[in-house]
Amino acid sequence: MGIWRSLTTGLKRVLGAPSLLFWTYFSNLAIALPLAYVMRAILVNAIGGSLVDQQLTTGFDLTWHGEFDASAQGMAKSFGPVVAGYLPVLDNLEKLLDGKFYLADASLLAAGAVYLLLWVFLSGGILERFANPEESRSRQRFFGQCGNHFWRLARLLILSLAAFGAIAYFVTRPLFRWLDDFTRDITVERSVILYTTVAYLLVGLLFVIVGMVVDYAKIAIVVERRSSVLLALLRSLGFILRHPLKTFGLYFTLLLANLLLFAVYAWVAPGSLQSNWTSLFFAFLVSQGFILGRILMKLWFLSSQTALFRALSGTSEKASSADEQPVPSSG
Amino acid sequence: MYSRGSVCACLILALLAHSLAFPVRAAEQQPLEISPRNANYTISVRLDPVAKTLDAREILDWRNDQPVPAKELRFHLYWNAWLNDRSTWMREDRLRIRPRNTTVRLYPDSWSEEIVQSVRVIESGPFVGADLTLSMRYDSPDDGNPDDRTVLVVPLPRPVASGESIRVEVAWKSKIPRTFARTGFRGNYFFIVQWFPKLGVFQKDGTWNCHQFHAATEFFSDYGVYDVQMTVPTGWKLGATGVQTNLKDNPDGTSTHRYQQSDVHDFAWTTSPDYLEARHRFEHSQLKAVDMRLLYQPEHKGQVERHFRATEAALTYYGLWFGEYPYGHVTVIDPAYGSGAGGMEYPTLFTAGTRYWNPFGGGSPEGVTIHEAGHQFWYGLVGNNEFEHAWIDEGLNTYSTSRVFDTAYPPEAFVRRFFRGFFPVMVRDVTRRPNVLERLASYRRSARSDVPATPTYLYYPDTAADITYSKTALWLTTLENLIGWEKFQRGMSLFFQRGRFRHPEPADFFAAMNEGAGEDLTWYFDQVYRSSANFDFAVDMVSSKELKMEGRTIPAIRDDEARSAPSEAAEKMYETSVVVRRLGDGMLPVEVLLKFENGEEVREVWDGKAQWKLFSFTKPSRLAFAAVDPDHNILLDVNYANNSRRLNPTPGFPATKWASKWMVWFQDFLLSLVSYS
Repeated sequence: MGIWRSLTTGLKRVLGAPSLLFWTYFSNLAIALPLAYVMRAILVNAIGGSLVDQQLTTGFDLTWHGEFDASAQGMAKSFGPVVAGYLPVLDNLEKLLDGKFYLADASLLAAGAVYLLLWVFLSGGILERFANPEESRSRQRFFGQCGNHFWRLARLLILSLAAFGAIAYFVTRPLFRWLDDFTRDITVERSVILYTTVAYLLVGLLFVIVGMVVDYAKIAIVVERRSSVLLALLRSLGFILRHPLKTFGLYFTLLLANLLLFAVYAWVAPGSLQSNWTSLFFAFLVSQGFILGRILMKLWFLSSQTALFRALSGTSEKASSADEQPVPSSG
Repeated sequence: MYSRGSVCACLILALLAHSLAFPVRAAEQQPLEISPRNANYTISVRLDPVAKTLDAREILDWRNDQPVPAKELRFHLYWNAWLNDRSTWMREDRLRIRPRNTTVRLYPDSWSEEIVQSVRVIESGPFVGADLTLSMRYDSPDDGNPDDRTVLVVPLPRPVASGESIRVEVAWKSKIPRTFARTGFRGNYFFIVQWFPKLGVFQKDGTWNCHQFHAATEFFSDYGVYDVQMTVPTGWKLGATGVQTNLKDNPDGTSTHRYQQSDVHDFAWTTSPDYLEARHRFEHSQLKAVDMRLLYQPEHKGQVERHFRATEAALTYYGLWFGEYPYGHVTVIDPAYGSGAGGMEYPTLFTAGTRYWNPFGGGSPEGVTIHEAGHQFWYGLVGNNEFEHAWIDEGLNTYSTSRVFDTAYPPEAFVRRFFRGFFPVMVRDVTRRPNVLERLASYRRSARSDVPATPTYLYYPDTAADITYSKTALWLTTLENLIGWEKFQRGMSLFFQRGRFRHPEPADFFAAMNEGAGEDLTWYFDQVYRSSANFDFAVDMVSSKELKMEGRTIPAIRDDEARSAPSEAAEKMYETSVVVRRLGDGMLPVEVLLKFENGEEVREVWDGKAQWKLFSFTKPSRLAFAAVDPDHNILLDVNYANNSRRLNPTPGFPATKWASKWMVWFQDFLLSLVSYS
């Protein structure tokens, strides 16, 4: 199976499983909505009976935000003009590449941790569905599969976080520190931009490698019923090394699709001018369409990689029946 | 360290001999004397771009224009601030948690030094030649720091009597710092400022005003005539204070650029092989024409016009509002990337500062260009003491910058720079006006940190700029709003005219403003300048109830209708009460607006002296909202959101709108986190 076939198979399987899209979107919304409600209460309190409601209705008020920010604590600190338009995407992408999520407020990080666990929980069922699309489907069976794989995927999550943390601490930070030293006599910003881009690409490449290894380890855990996370990681690494062109090709093609989604959203992302419920509703729809698109991309990654893994490793769909228990391993 | 010293010394001696062979004192070359010209410098300097050193010699002609004799000379050696990490500058800089100037990392070649090799009196008038090298010493008049070498004291063999002049020759060598406080090098880019042994200001009480170099303050010196010859590699572009009067290529691959300028109190220069040059002439029917020279980085070619336009805006409006720029030329420097030299002013030369990607509308480089061009007026022409009253130039100029920006440009849009600041994204529908409000956040956090009347070098270093720039700009704008532009402008213009080529004090400013306003504003200056009062007005309570008596509604009868058909004219009446409060200790007269549902407006002025005031009205309409300072005249108000209150608050829609946007940000945050799984 080639890259194109993996992509089309993957996309078919994602689109053929709208319930997965629903559950993953729902889990995202379920975590975000209560906190958004809290943020709304914070804003209601901050706006109060003030006339600033006019400015915030028709746009944004930077002066008011200065006051708000001066007294904001906790998650309120995360509110600002950066939530407008396309900025959230860049803001979070920057945090991702710089490994600076840890700077977020504890309440947001706690919610993020819950979401990560929820994602890991759902991943088991999702991968089972992508690995065995012909099997009978039921909600009970799906959540059973989720539970079945959860602890191993959770252990993998810990290793994955450790790996990304190590990249941030041992690579990203020293790399950019070195870059500052290296460019300290360069007087042309364009050159420094070029070096910085290369540095980000290097960090990005490490992210891709670690992300791929973790993805295929997840797939190996589910498809090959591996109980050892370490062996799953080794299996994943071996798989990637045996098929570097196809695995990297697939990953980069999917990244390209992701970038395309970002580009489209950059074009249509709603700004701050909605001044009535109708326009706000449509702006919200567009934004949620983007979130849905991002989730679809993530599922597409998993489904395409699963298809490729199955095709290239010769694992038959029958061999990994969902009801089978993992094979104990010494690893 | 100075292996090429002997060669350099020979060249400098030759240059000096040349200048001495034609004994034209700098001050004598200038026909039109518009400043006291009592501190005149003739300097020869050679740059070694590899060793990053300067080898130089200056002849200082100083006239004692005070009524008492001077027994010593005191020089600033600014570059010794970065001789070690124990200097007063470095100690104070460490208190700056939010560093502004020194975001640079320290490297072995970051440090600098300024070594005076000899000081001698040149025979002239009543003075006989004498070598004073052995008697010179360092002093730390501000804090007694024994490790600080930024003030050099040179005792004189005989006092310089009032009206007498002395001629002194100083030879020195310097190691150029990797940029500190806007001066230094980056690669082959050199920005050489505060670089020569510079005399302090002799005062009428017989003391020198010659402070150590502090992290949060700038400079102070007398006006004079500068004649400077700078030797740099041939082919390198050079920009400096004044105008070039000679350029000579030397046989050793260097060129000597001679620049002269009269009636200025400092001299700065810069050189680099990479500069490109553009010229443009500023012309205005009511103002003197100015030749503008821009030395820019090749990668900023597309921003040349933006620099000229911003400089023109400053020359136009400062010129029309306060007074004309007299020099006829100005050099705008677009500093090299990462040089740390951006945003700084020197006489007839200033640095702007832009980025490779810098979309128009985000306020940069327009804001910084206007600001530094504006310093030609507040700092260059009005030469206040920046060690002690930095608010005069920085505060007045920040105010003026904002006013020019608001006059000449559309509102500044919000810009967020991503990925280590290289990639800007502008949100065009999030803007701010007036521009000076961007200063409110920094003032708010430091409102009480220092009383502005405190000498600036004693401000807490971390918050000094917040008081110097932000608070002053805000209280000036507030004053303009209180007394009106006409009176305000008259006061500012008076101060400018009287302070031109002088060293005005705060009292001079207050006197000019009182005169301009036609009233004594001491009550205002007491609060904003002589105290750290906090300003916060609020609407504390609003109510609007239908009037009833014994269970019956009281009808209102309008006079005209009562005469004709009283029964039909009856309508409901509402008793409206509004309590406004002064939550801060700052007292200012403030307008209170009550707007009723029928569109009627009532505006009253409250003197703001009591802690609170009740406003009561009986009207045929219910109150819609009340606002204290509805036009946002008092920009010092640290919490403007509490200045208004609706009877029926409607925060629901805006809160939902912005919470929904925050939710999208957070949903994306969660999905980005998933990338780690």
